Amino acid sequence: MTTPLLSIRDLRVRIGDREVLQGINLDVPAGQVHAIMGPNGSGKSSLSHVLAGKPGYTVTGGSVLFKGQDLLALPAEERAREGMFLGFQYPVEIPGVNNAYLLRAALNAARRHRSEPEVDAFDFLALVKSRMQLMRMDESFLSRGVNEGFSGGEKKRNEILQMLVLEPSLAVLDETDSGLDIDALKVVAAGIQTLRAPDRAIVLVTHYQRLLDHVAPDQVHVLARGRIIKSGGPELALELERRGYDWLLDDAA
Amino acid sequence: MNFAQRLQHDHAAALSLLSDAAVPSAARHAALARLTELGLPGLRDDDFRYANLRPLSRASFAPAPEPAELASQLAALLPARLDGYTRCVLVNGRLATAYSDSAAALAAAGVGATLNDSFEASLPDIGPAERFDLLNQAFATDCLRISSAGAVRLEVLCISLAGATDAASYPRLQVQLQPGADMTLIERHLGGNASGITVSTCNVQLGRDAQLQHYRLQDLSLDATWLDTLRATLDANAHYRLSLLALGGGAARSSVRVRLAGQGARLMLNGASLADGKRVLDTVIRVEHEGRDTRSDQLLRAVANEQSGISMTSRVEVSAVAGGADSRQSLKGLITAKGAEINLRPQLEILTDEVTASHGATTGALDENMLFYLLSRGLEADTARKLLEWAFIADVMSRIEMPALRRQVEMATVTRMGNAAALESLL
Repeated sequence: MTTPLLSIRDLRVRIGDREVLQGINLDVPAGQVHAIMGPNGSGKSSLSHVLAGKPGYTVTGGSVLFKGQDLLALPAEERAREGMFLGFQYPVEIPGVNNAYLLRAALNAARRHRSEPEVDAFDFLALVKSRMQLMRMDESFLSRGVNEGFSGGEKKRNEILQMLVLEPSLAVLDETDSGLDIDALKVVAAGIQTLRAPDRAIVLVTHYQRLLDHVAPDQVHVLARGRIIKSGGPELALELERRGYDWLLDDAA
Repeated sequence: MNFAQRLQHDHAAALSLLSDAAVPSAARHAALARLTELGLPGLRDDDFRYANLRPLSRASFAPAPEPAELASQLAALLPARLDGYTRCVLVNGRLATAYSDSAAALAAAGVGATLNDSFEASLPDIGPAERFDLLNQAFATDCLRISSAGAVRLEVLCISLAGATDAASYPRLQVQLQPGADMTLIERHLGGNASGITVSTCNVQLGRDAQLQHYRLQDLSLDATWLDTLRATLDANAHYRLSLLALGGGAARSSVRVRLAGQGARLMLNGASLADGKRVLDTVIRVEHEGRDTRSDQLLRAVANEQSGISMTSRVEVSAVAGGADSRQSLKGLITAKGAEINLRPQLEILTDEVTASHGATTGALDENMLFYLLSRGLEADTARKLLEWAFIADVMSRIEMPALRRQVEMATVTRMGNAAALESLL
């Protein structure tokens, strides 16, 4: 068996005095889509943040290997350049930095990391425009400030656009489906589907089954109270949709 | 010698350089007497609380002589020409004809004109906060007088060059726009070094319905001392769009005073100050609403790095007869390091009920969420920080309406920010 793209072992994390992750074990092989579901406050976003390297979390134990290397030893920007992408639950507005600049700077940072030449301005524009078309975003978004004045749905689409331009090996999408209407959900789902490839993996952190109707997961995990309490196939998501989480929580307790 | 004695001494020694044409002798002596009386601002002087005036304790006030050899020194300092702009170069406060456009071209732009008698009387008073204008009056070696009734685009480069000994540079500009005139004036202060202070003055009168777009860019060397005064008066329906960009200077103080004298006069002021090292940049603005339905709109941004200090005071006064006045002040500061300091002081004094006024002042550190967002996309930490600093002043930059100038200013800014390569593609 080949090494998983992402391998998490007994990961324990604190915010201040509170242990938000209490021993996570998770393997995500290349080529697969995994969904992480769970009730509010179960640690889903904490896990996403820790993987991306957000400050404010203290790892007290365990390990995370990404492509066989110690992910937690890398600063956030190097994780990104290695091919780790976090789709934010709440994308940040940055007035004064335009979208096109961010996209190009991000793409070039990754290319320099791989010892590839910087992207030519013409090729870049062609690439971005084709991806924007896919995400049904108007080209005027390029010259606007990053997420500045975007609606909730536009911000989520912009996250997926960034992902499609950067083509990461591992995308962790933190509640990318929340706050989307049906049409936007379909567009976002189509964007995610585009990224599926044998050498990539996607982790969908979500509350709801509905995204999984469009992006079928290979594995579904239930995260509760800082632990993965159950894993299964796509049918688990359907069962959760039907029965909620309580039966599992009772079992776990 | 104390301050007064040094003033008197340097003035007496410089008499042969001080022509009546620049400033009449009587006015010089009056200025000298008033400045002597006011003295140097003390530590408790609120108008200068945040300024670094230490260089004045040892500076020579004697005007710098004309440098013997200009070409090599100027080559590195002169920015690229801007299409459609008449260029006028002052070196150490004196018109450098060899580097300026022809006398005919300057005359066509209104340079060298005689100003109306109303000019001096129309200007705001020189208060204690504007006292360094008196220093300029006492020692100015030249005065660039500009008067226009039509449409003019003019660039004035005030360049300070080091001499063999300590000496000061006194650029002096007087701008009078006749009713209905429309001028874009780019005023840049460049050069300078630790051994010579630059004391600049710009006086502006806008006639009825006149419009002035005035870009003032201070990009002196990082060890230069700059003491600057701008006084302006606006007649009815005049519109003054003023940009103040302070990028250079080790110790810089700019005092701005604008009278909205006529009904419907409008001031739109955008300013950004950017400092690093141990530099101190101080801007004090006073806007006086005197006419009815006058409006002032100020957008001021400061970014202080390392151990630098930036202060911005913006005082708006609305007189009892200035009903219908509308005043807005937005001041924001960004501190990027523990040792840096920013002081923002919006002040309002309103003597009438019929007024709309808003003001806000906030100072903070870089937004950690924004920073993490950029890092999570793979940007270098240093690039991400600089990018956010850039974004912080982007509002001010975007209000530079002339693309070619905006590009120059942006490049100058990015160069000062010290990560030019990474940020250049922003522009």
